[in-house]
Amino acid sequence: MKTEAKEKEVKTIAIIAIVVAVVGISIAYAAMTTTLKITGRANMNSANWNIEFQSLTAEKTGDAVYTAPTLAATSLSNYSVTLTKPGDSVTFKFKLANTGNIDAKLKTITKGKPVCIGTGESADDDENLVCQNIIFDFKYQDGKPIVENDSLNQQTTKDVILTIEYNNNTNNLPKGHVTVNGLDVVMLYEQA
Amino acid sequence: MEKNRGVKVVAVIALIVAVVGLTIAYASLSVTLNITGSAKVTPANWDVEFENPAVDEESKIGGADGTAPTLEGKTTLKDFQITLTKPGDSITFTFDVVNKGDIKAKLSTLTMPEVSALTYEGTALEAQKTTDENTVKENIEYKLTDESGSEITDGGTLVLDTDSNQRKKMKLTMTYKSTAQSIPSAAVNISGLDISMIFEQAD
Repeated sequence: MKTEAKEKEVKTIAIIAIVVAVVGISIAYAAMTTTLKITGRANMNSANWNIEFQSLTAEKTGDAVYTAPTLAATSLSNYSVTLTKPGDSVTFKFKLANTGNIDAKLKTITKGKPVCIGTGESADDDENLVCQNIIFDFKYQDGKPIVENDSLNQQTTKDVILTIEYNNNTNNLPKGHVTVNGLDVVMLYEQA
Repeated sequence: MEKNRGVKVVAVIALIVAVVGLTIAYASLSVTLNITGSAKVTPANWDVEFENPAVDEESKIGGADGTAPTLEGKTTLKDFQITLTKPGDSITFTFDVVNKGDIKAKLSTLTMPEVSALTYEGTALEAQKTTDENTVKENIEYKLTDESGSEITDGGTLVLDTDSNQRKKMKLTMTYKSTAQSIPSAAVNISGLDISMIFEQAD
């Protein structure tokens, strides 16, 4: 009888303790519930992607004659050059410009191969001679080659030069006129 | 402290989501730059040639005589003849070298055989023949000069332009030395007096 009362008391104390504990824990959890708020603003500035040609100038040596290319944003088109003797050359200088706010890199560059078309009886010999002696060069103004993965960071420019020259170290000229096509360059830039 | 860390974790996650969203929007940007054009080679005219070969009659000294070279094509003066008889005899041929082309030219190489390298053919009898040949070899001299008498040299110092200064008058003079103490007993023919001038494009 006494034992049963004691057990009941223990149980009651335990239950109270547990309840107290649960209530205590519940009270502790309730106090740690907080609503988190983040407030503020976001501006989506429209990114500016713009790669273009700029600032075209031309120089010549010897008796070379030229028509400078037409400058549009992404094209330099329809230049023409006439050379008459070894050492004659024309150099076009211009800038590659990244006027946007996104860094760019050169993914691919394709430089054309000269195709020579002769005239008259010695056309074949003339074509071979001119194609062996025409120099078609495209590089940075400091002399370094332009290669894939070159960077063109936002708000920067790079100076480049395009040169067409008749080899100064030859003593041979074609007998007739020779037209040279294929003097084109294509560059694909993408985001870095 | 715990509360702040929880706020920070949520804030960072939100920012990451926003950045990932922006990056996906940029991935498609690219541009192609094109350069196009052509060239033409129209050969300039290269033409350097001889003109006006002649004997300078006023230059004849003593018994010297001769026949001016003949012009073969534009680039060869051939078959001149010179006769000298005694010490001091001298004769001069004149001719012009002219640049008639569109490209400036320079004399890059001049080849004139040494007197000792010429061929001497004496006409005396065998014993005297060699002596005569040697006598002539020791006492003959020739030179190539400009109009003022300065010797022509190669290496690019003589330049012919395409407008003014296109023409250079030259003189070829052959002399039996006035200081010679002997003459051959019979005629000695001299051959091999071949001079070549190579002109190249000047800078």
